[in-house]
Amino acid sequence: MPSSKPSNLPPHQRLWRRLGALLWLGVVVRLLVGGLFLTAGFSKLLLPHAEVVALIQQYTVLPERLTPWIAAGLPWIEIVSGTALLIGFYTTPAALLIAAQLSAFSLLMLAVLVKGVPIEDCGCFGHLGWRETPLQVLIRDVMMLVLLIPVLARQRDVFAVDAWGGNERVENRA
Amino acid sequence: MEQALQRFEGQVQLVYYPFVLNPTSDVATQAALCAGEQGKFWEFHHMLYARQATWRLLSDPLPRLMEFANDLQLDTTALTRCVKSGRMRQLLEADKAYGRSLQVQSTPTLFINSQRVVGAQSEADLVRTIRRELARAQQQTQ
Amino acid sequence: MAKKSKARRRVAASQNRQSSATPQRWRQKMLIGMTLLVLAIALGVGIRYWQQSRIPPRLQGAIENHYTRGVAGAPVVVKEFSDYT
Repeated sequence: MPSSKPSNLPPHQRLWRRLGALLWLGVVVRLLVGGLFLTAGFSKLLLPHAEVVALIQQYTVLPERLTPWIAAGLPWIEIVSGTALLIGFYTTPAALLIAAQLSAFSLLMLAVLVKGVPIEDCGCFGHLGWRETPLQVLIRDVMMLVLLIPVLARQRDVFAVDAWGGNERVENRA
Repeated sequence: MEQALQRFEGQVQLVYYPFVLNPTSDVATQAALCAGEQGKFWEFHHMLYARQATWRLLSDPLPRLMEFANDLQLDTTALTRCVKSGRMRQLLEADKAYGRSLQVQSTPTLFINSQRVVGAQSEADLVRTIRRELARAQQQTQ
Repeated sequence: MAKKSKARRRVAASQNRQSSATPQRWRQKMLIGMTLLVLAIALGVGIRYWQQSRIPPRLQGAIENHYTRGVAGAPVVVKEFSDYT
């Protein structure tokens, strides 16, 4: 079955394919974003649970009853999604889960900035000494969202665990 | 915490550890400990919280704190001498190191037996935690 | 006729090899991926356990030379770390 030539594709699909062709960018983004989320998850596990609850409560825009649950679950979600993206295992679902987290964090930072809640340190990386203001977090998270696009377009690269699965086209050509 | 202590009289002991976060509170804490040498630590402690708005943003709170000392009929000369000598600093540093060893990062942090509670809590939440710990302690003694 | 059936046999053999190879590669991928994920989670569990186990022994004692309220030896001891600001 002949593969569709790029010139036959509609413009948005051509752009998507071009973005996915940036192999090196996808790999770097996968390692960077996955590594960041993994670090964020572990840094929260290094803190006592009550400290993480207090860090989340400082945002004041989240319902207080939810904060213990978020504090309990968030580190694990970060670790699982970060690891999966870092190693390229189920890359697309991992990238989508990370994109969802980044979107949620960005909305939270926006709400905090609009409400004028005074936060000196977002606590995104526990107390590893990496302090960020809500504005810095918002900029960083939006940038990471944009950087995830080539990863989502590519879906897998040869350095990913996903590449071990192979696909029919590759098998047929062999 | 005061109400909780009254409610559970005889069953709860409160131990205070200063965990200084800035130079202003460093001076205030030393003043409180020096007031303790004159037998009025808790009175000074409560006054610092009650009048917090009047001194916490001052770069040099000592003159204002001496006014508090005057109100409590403390020897302000001795108090000033005590604070300026820095005698209490060793105690503060030891308590801060102890807090850091327990991974205390922000204040207030309470350890109700081994239950960590971070940030200002409502009386209801404190009472609930104390009650739970009392029940646990009773189970262990049975 | 013989050539055609030979060609058909070749295609069938190739398809059989693919259908047995793909699940094997997929199993390898799952094994590697899940192993790494489980390792990361296990490391997280270890870190959490290590972090929690350090605290209770350090909470014992350290009461003398500190200002206290209430009864000494009470069943519940509240250690308060505060800053006046």
